[in-house]
Amino acid sequence: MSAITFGRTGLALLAAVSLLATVPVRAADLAVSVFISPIGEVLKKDVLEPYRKQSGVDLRIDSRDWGLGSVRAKVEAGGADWDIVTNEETEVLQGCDEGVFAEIDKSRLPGLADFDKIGESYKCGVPFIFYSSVLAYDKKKLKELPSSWADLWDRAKWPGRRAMRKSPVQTLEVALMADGVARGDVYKLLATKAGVDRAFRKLDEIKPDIVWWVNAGQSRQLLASGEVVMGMSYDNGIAFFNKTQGTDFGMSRKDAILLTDFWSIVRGSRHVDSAYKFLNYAMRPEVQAAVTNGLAISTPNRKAMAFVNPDWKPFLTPNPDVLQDAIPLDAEFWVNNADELTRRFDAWLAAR
Amino acid sequence: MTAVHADGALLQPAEAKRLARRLARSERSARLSALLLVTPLLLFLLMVFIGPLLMMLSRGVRDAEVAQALPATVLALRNWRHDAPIPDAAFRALADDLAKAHTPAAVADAAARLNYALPGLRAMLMSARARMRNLPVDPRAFFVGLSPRWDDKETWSAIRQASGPLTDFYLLSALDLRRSSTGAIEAVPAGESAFVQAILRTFGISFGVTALAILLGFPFAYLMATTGRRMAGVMMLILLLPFWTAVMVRVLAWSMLLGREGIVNDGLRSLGLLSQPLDLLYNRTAVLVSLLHIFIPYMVLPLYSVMKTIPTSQMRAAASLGAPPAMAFRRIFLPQIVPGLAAGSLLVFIHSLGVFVVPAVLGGPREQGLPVLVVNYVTKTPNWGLAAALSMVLLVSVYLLYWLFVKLTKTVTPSVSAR
Amino acid sequence: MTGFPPTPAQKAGRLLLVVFGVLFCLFLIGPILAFVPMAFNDVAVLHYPIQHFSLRWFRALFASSDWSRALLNSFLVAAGTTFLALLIGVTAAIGLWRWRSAGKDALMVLIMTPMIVPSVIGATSMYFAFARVGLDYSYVGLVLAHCAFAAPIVVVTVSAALQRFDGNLLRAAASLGAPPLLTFRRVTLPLILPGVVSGAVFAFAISFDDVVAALFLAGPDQRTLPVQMYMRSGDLFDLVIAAAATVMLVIAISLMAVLLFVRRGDRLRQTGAQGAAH
Repeated sequence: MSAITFGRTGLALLAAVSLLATVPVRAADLAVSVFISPIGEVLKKDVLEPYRKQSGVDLRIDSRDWGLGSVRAKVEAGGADWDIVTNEETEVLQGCDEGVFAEIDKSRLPGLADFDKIGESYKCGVPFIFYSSVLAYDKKKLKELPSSWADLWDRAKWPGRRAMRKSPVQTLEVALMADGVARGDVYKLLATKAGVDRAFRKLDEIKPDIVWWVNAGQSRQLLASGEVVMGMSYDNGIAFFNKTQGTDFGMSRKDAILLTDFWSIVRGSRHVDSAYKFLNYAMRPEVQAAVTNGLAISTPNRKAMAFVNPDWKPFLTPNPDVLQDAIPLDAEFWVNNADELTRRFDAWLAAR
Repeated sequence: MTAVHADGALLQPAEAKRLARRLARSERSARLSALLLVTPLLLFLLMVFIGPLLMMLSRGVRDAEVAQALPATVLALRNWRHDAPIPDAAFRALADDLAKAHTPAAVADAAARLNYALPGLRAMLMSARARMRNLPVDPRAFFVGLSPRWDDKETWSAIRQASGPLTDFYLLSALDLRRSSTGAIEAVPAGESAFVQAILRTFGISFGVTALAILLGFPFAYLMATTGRRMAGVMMLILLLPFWTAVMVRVLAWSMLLGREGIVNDGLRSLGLLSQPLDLLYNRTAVLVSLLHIFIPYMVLPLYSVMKTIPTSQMRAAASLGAPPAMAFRRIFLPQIVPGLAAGSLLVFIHSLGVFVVPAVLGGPREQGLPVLVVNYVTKTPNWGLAAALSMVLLVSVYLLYWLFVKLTKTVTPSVSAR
Repeated sequence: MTGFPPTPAQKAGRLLLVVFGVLFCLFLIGPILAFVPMAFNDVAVLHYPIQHFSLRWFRALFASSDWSRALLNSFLVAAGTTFLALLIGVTAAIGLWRWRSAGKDALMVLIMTPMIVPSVIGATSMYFAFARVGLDYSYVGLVLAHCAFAAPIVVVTVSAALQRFDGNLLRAAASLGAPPLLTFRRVTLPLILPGVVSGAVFAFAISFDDVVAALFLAGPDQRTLPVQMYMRSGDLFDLVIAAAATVMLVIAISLMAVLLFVRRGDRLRQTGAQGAAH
C-alpha cells in the first residue's frame, strides 16, 4: 500500500468515525434514560417503543450505568439532556436531597390510586416494579432444601461455598436475620455500633466460604455451574431463568428484602408536561403488566394483575399489602451510612 | 574547530568560517525539523494523557468543596483552636452559609466530603439546610436542637480540617492514617480501613507472579535457546499466540477451565485423582495462573534473547576444563543472563501491579488490589479524592520499579519488542 | 563439531526439560483453544462435553444488535486508533531519529508515560478530563484514549526500523533534488515499512484488547467487544460470548500472521543486503 492510498483510507476512516460521533443530538420532545440491564431492555421494548409509536412523541431513548453520578454530571453541566430516568431507592432519596430530581406532583398522576403503598414515601419517584432479595438454590443439586437465612450459615448440613452480594447493603441485614434478629429490629440494630459489629461477626462465621457477586446474573451463574450450594439472589431472576433456561432453581422468601425501582423526573427538565404524560402512560395497568410479563417482576399497580401471564403469578413477589415475610430496604439508612459501612465492609473483606 | 579537506589539505580560514556557518545553520534547521516532527505527539500526549493524569492526581490533595459551599463558616473557624470552646460566630456563620444555599445541590458536595471524614455529617448538614427557612435567632440552640452532635468539637474540627485549599486527608486515608481532632496523625482503628493490606497484597500477588514466571519461564527459554531453529520457531509461535489474544478472552477461558464443573476438575476426577471437585475459581490460584499466562512472554522473550547470545562452546570449554555442569551453569551461564532476568522480572512485576480485569473477574475479595480499589472509588462508592490518593501510591511504586528497569537495562521501553 | 557424549544424567535432564516444554506449551495454548469447540456447541450452558455441533451462537452474535454493534465498534475504534497513532507516531519517530540535541532520553521517558502508568489510572484520568469537555461517551474520545496507549508503541517499532536506516540515502535523494515529502514516500517509507506495519498491528491490537479505557469512556452506543464480554462475563448461559471469543481469536491470529509475514520479508531483505555487501 503506498503512502498516498494509505493516507486516503485513513482520512476516510477518520472522517467516518468523526461522522458517527457528531450525529447531532435531536432536540427530542422527551428523553428517557433507563438502566443498562435486562430491566432496561424490557422497558425499552414494552414501554418506551410502544409509547413512541402510540403517542407520536419524538422520544429519545437512552441508557445509563453507575448510580447517580452520570445524572448528577448532566444536571451540573447545565442542560439536563434527560427528562426521566430510572432509579433505585437510595438514588431517588439522595438525588432528591441533592436536587438532582424534581419532586413529583402526585396530583398529576391519578393512576397512583391503584398503586400499592410500596414506595409511597418517596417524594421524587414513582415506583414501577418491585422484587426481593431471597435465598436461592438449585433444586437439582440439593437433597434437603434450605428455608431461611440461618440455613445459609449451616455448613454442617450444606457444606460448600455460598454466594452473597458484594456490598454491605442487604448483606448486613441478612447476617442479622440469620443471627436471629427479628425483621422489624434489623435497622434499629444496624444504627448502633454493636449491631454492625454483630453483623460482621456473623459474617465471619462463613467468610472463607463466601463467593461474592456484583450483578444478579453472576449469582444465577454461580448456582447453575455448581460453584455454590446456595446464595442470595433476586426472586424475579430465579423465576425467569427457570422458565427460559430450563434450570430448576428454588427459593425461600422468609425474611426477604424488598426492593423497588422508580421513575424520576430530572430537575431542570424542559419537558415537564410531556414527562407527566409519559408517566401516566407507563403507570397504566396493561403497560405495567407488559413489564411484569417480560421479566417475571412484580408491579405495584393492583389492577395490572388482570393482564399478567398466569404462568408468572406463582413466582411474583407477593403483594406487599399481604406480605408478611419481608422487610423493605431502608434507603434512608443506607444513604446516610453507606460511606462508613462500605469502607468497613471493604476492610473486612480484605482482612484474613 | 579545524576543517579538513578529504585530501587532508587545510582550508582557507574564510572558507572554513563560511562552511562552519553553513553547517551550524543546517544543524539548526535539522534540530528545528526534529522538534517540529516530535511536537504533534508531545502535544497530543500532554493534552490527552499527561495533563488529565496530573489533574486527576491533584484531586488527591485538593480540598475545595467545603470552602466553596460554606465560606463564612471556614472563615469563622480559621482561628479556632481545638482546646477552645466552639465559637458562637461559627454557628452563626454556618447558619448564614446554609441560608444562602437555596438548593440542596449547593451543599451536596461539601456534605459528601465531610461525611468521608466524619460519618453522619452529611445527614446533619443536609437536614440543617432543609430546615433553615429564615435565620434562627439563636443559631447554636437551633443546630444543637437538630442534633446533639453539633455540640461536639469533633464535628467542627472535621469542618475546619476540610477547609482547604490543600489537604493530606486522602493520602493519609490511603495509608490507613488520619488526623485526630487535635490535628495529630494517628492510625485508623483496626477493622475500619485496610488499604495498607490492599497495597501489600497487590505487591504480594505481583511478586508471586514474577517468581512463578522465573521458575517456569527460565527452563522454557532455555529449551528454546538450545533446541533446533525450526522447533524454536514453533515454540515462539505458541508463546506469542496467547500474547496476541485479547486478555478478556483468556480470562473467560480460565473462568471456564477452573470451575467446579470445568475441564480441570472433570479431568482430575475422571483420572481418579479427586473425589470432590476443588474450588479453583475466585481465589488466589485462579488469579496467579491467569496472570502467569498473560505475562509469561515478558519473561521468556528477554531471557531467550540473552541466552541466544551465549555460545554453547563456552559451556563445553568449561566442561573440558573439568567443571561439573552445575558449576559451569552457575559460574558461566547464570552471570551472563542476569540482564535478561532482571528485565523480564521487572516487566512482569510492573505489569502485574496494574491489572484490573483479572482480579475483578477471577479473584475473590483478597485478590482485589489497588487498581480494583481505584475503580471502585471512582464508580461504585464515589470518593474521587481517595481514588486519586490510591492512584498516587500505585504510580509511585510503578515509577520506582521503572526507574530500576531503566538503570539496569539501559533502555526506556517498558515492553518486549517480540522481535 | 562434536562435543563430549552426554552422560545418562544429562540425557535424563534433557528429557525432563522436553516433557516440561510440551506441558508448558499446552498450558499456553490449551485455554485459548478450549473456547473454540464451546462456540460450536449446541447446548446453552458453558461446559464440556460438547453435545451437538451448531452455528447458533455465531448466528446469535450477528443477529443480536448489542453484540454485532460491539463488534463493529471494536473495528471502527481500532481502525481510527491505528490511523491516528501511525500519523503522530511515525512522525515523532522520525523526529526522534533526527534528534541531535540533548534530552532525547528524557523525551522518550515522557513519550513512554502511557505504557508505564497502569491503564486503570490512565483511563480514570481521561474519563474525568473528557467528561469535562463532553468527549466521554463518544467515538472521538475513545479513539483519542486508545491512541494515547498505542502511539508510544508505534514510536518504539518505527524507531527500531529507523535504527537500521541509512541516513545517507536521504542526503542522496536531496542532492538529486527530491522534495522532502517525495523522499519520505519513495525512500524512507518503503525501508521502514516493516516497523510501520508492526506499529500498526500493535496499535490495532491494543485498541482491540482494551477493556479498562472503554469501560469508562464508551457509552452504550460505543461499547466495544471486550467490554461487552466483560459485562456479560457473569451470565455464561449465553454462549454468544464463546462465539465472540472465537472471533477475537481469529483476529489475533490474523494480526500475528501479518506481523510474521512482514518480519520474514524484512529478514530476507536484510540478509539480501548483507549478502550484497559481502
